[in-house]
Amino acid sequence: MKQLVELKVNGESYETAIDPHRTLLEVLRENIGMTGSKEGCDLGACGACTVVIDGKAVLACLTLALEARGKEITTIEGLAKDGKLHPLQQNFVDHGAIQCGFCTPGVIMSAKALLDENPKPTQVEIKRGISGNLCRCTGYTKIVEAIEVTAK
Amino acid sequence: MEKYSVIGKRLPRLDSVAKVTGDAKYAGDFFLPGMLHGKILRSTVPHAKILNIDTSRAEKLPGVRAVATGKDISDIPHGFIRAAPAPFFLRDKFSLAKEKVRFIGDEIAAVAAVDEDTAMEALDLIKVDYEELPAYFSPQESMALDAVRIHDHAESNVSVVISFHLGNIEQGFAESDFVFEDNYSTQYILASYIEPHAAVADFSQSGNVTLWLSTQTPFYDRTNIAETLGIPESKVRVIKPPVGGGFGAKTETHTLFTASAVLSRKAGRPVKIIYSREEEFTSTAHRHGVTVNHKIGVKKDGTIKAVDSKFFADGGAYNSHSAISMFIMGTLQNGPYNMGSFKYEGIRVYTNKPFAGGVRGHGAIQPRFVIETMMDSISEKLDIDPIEIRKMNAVKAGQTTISKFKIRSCGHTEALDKAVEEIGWKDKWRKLPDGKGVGLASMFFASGAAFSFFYDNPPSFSGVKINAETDGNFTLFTGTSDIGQGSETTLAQIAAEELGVGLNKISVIASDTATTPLDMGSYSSRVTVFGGGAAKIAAYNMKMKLFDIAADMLEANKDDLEAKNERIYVKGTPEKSVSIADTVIGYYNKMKEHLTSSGDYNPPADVGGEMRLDLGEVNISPTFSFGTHATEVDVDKETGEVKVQKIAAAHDCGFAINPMAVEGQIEGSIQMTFGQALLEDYRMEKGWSITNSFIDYKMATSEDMPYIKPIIVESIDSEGPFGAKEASEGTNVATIPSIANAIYDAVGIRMKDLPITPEKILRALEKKEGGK
Repeated sequence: MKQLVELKVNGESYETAIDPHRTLLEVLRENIGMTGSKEGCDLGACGACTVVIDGKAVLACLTLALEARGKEITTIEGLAKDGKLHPLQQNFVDHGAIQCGFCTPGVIMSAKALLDENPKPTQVEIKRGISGNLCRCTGYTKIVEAIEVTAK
Repeated sequence: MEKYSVIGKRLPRLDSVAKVTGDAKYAGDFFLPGMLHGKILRSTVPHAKILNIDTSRAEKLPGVRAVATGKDISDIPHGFIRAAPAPFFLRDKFSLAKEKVRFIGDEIAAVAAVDEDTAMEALDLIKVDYEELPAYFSPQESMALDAVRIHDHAESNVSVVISFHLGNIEQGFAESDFVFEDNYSTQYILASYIEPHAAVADFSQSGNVTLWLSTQTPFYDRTNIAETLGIPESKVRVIKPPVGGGFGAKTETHTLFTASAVLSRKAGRPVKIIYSREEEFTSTAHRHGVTVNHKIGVKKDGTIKAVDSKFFADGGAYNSHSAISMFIMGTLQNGPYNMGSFKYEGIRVYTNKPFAGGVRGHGAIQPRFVIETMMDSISEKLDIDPIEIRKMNAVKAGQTTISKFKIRSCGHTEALDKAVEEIGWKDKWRKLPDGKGVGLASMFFASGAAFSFFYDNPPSFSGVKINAETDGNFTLFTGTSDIGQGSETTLAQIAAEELGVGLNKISVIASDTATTPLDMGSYSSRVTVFGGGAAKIAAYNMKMKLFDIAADMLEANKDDLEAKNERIYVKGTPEKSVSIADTVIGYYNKMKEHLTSSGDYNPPADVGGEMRLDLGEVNISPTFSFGTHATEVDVDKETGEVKVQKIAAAHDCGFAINPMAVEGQIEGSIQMTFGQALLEDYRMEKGWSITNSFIDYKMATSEDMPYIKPIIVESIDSEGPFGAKEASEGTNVATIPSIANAIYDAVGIRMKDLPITPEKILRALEKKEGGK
């Protein structure tokens, strides 16, 4: 039995009818049409689906869409403002922190939650902050560098 | 003044904004009107005859639109090698099983339904009757004389044997003062890209099918799909959108690619299939696990005289790259050292496990672990510095090896010197306290395979076309596949440099079999030299067409012209110039036709030739990369834990078209080999995978990774575009032995079995202490 749910994503409200077992990731991608958040494992082990809910980095594949009602959800699509990239996004571009790009949205959202809570993290804190986001392309070096530069 | 204005620069990737904003659309991000969801039914037994498949209940389930089995596909099997002569033509895989299943996870049927849940439910309703057969989970079991054959076409469970003998090893060993012999083994690992395989197929009423695939080889997929569906290749269009990593495993035409098309044809609606992470672990191509017996004969001055190498590879249930894999494991031992004489036997064996194929560093990772570890033992025994022994035996630029590799450029010595300097070798080797150590290892790698494994008569190895626009922009069409390494940007930089325009003036349209020239795909580290080579030729040809027109406009001699800053100048007369945009308009006015150019790259005449994988005397690549990793480790003698502190990774990429991208390749590729050295292990129990997720299968996180110092060495190659060579697979080949050698320096134990776990360290330490 489908249920009507209202989600607030990147400052805008979306109303959609879903089966209660649908995850936030599925609803973002399939119902709302935001495919920036990626599904890499559907098990909470890779971090590609990371979004920010009420300031915290959350795995959208382990979150039921119904649980996210009434909360502020920020996805990768919500970071750039007025055609200008968020400093994290700009530094990922400039420092070559992107290769295949599939982990990138999740990594950036984890980094955003980290910097919002701790604007001057140490390198160790940065590495811990994104340790739930697997990347097979970069060895994390340039990702950590891009986050460090953003925090400076 | 700087020599170049676009290449040699740390420029962001062309697709970087799309990738940081979530705009980039990967195959799984496509949603077409009326699209169905497909799922694959997989075998639950490791080896069996299929007696019957009853799909009737699944077909009746509301919401199911199509069910497909082996009956719905042609009798043409697929595999990576399609154009080779016997006995290397070894295609043995059907997208959906015909008669037999050969591993747990083998594909039997496919279902398309209105949603994923319905498709999953339908799978449960398909009844498969099996007649189970004995199953084999190691090459030893599988090769037993009384073993049941896994494939009827093969006389035994040996999938392929590649052997060759270069020079005279009997004489080589006779002339040796010492002979070293040892056994090694390596494990199955996974490519482990973060994007699972995805396919969207749209089979139209007119009989054409368009597919969006997460692939490294869209043109090979096109052929395999056409052959599987029994339709002409011209009816199949494969588009490769951004791909979330491939690392070799996406060179396979895995079943979802063909099954989505078969289901779409049956259902008359688009079909999407995305593999679950579990399917990635159980049913896609892995890196070969091998056991090795290796013998090296040396003079007492350290000169290598003879190598006798036997490789036993666990191939799993199907051939995939088989003959190539086994060939490379042998031939890529012939560098960076001259081996004097060389004998190799590579035996690949069928087992009832997921099949092994090509994974980053394909065929080079395993032998390099063996050779570089043995080089360390040899240098110790002969009391020769490990740096010196690696220099004295090294191949040199201008030389041809016994395997007939022509070495056009060689940064081996420079890479070695820079890596050891960076790690502080002089002050650390044999000087650090117990439990701390440094190790080094060198390597080389091919810059692209100079054989057409797949096509009998390809137009070229890589083609590029360029269109000129009247606003001074250019559109570059390439069939190469950017799977994250940044090749589209590399090609665009090469073309921009040649045309004298900025990178922002080049748009790239890539990897669409209907619109881009044929290219063989992203594998064997071929794209920079082959695709980049084609881009340079196409851009040069475009420039010449522009010069013809500009010469008239400027009343100058064509030979006196140069292109830079988006203008064409008369050399030495800067006031005489015309913009490229105006020249393009001039071309249109004069010629009354579109201004396009094309370029094709083919390896030079002294490369490639007949694909005789049994001879071992064949120049496999236009040119070769070199490199050295120097590594520092701490070994905890109480817990057996190895902590890698730093890897100094020097790589001779010829010329770095984009140094930031080259560094990224070095840093990223080491994540995989660091993992293979210490963490990653695909484990099975009676044919069942027990590492089915990133929770069980340990891949290095940001917290696990050591500090990596990438060092770019430029030897300026005579063949590669602007002197460039590969920088994507060779970059990680030396990691594992450099770690193993550092462990030896730290605690005096030789690790010969991967992965190097704390348990193995403790066991080796016990054995060493016990022996005292």
